[in-house]
Amino acid sequence: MNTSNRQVNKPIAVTDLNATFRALEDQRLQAIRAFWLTLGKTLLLLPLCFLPGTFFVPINNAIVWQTLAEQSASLFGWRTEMEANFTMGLFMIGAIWFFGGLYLLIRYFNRHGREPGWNYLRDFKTKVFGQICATRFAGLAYKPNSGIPWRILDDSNLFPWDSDWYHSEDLFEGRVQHTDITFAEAHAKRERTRVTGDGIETYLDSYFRGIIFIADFHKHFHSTTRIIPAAEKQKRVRKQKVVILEDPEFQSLFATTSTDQSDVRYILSTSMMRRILCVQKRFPKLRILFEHEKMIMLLPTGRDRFEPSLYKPANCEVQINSFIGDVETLLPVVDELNLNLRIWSKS
Amino acid sequence: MTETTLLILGGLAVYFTVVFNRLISARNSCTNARAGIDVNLTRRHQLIPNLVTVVRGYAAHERETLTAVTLARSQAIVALGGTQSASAEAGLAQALALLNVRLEAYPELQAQTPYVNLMKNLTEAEEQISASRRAFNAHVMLMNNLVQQFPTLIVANLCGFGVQAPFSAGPGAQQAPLVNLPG
Repeated sequence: MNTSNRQVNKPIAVTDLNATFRALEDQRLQAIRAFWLTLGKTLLLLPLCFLPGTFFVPINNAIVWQTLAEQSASLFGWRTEMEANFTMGLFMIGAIWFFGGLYLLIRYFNRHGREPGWNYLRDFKTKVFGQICATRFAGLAYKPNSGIPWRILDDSNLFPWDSDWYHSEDLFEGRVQHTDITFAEAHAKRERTRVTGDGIETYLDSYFRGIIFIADFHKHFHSTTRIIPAAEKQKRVRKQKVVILEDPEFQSLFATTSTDQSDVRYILSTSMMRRILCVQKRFPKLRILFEHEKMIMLLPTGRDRFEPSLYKPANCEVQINSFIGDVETLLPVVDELNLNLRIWSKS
Repeated sequence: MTETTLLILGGLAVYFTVVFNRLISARNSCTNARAGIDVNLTRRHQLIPNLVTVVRGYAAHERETLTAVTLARSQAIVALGGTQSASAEAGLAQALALLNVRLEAYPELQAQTPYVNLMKNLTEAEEQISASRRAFNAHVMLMNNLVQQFPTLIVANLCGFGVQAPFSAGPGAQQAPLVNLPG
């Protein structure tokens, strides 16, 4: 596959997919209809949840449950203690009714209102994006429901903290000329605290949203090297020492640490540093790890990629071209870093 | 007064020890990095006999050039680790570059897998030599900064630490062997 010959944003021939589009369009319309219908039903059923609340509504200056308790007490000859138990029982039944009802309603809404939409998006990705990927990017397989494992991000030490929430999807794997690549969309968050008027609040803070790009490096090496934006907070890792490199621009933009001072220079030849700077211009907060003869790049994009919309027609060219454009933005990284050059013993 | 003097002297002793240890550490790093260059040079030297054997089978007419490469290799091995190492290596690089130019006339040879593999290994060795030289120069820079900057230069001068010479490319480095690989 020659990435340099690709034309960005050129509409592709989608005639092969016409039958798929028709089936998906029906599915999409059904999903939208199911959503609004279920929303209406849910809203109609919602007042039932508040039914126990009527026990607590004052009628003639008396609250219903109090009146019920008093009447039951006088009828059965209960003492005050039993009257209180009865009141508590009523309260608990009301609470179970309210929360249980809400839970059932949300479940009903998700299952019948939202799930058809999710199914449509999943089918669209598998059938349309999968097919486009197979024809347009030969050698690259698209797996919308797979992602890059959590530990790859956390073990990379490219951030000074571990993630508390992580999600990855839209996995692409395959080979670009001589280089094996894997990349997927990922989103990671960490737990943080902040002081509010009510005390200390814990919340999840998103610290990485973008693409994790793993490529087979074209040289043999045995060290671990990290490249992190110079202005960002660094994590101290055992045995990794700061490396001062010759390229002043690279040195001012990145902080490099490695377990081997000679190996890092073998990986980061002067031309490789210039190439990384080129990639950095497109992805300003780029982070790279070289380990186990692979390079792992974190390319922050800040937005959700490879996502179709439920509210756009199935054959909408804009979302198809957006998908192609997203992939075509990433694949040139292999050429930019010259990873296909195999003049070393690693072929 | 005595206590203050003792405190100052104690502080100076601690500072002296810290700087002295940093200088020792920097010098050891330089020695280690220099050894790293030699390891990679040895690797290149070991590849040359194989190259000569493969080439001799296809380019018998290049006996003179091959003899020059073998001679340059022997000189480089003898000079390894010494002061003449840089110039001997430059001579070897020059001989290899000349051989490379001559071998362009033998496309049959250049299509042979053993030759291609050897050339790939040689390119790798060249890059590793270059990387270890850069690493050595980085260590030398750190060492020289300590030796030449104030106030560490006082300790360096007192203890006899001198400025280290960085590894500069010899006159033959511009003609370092380029690899002709098919495809």
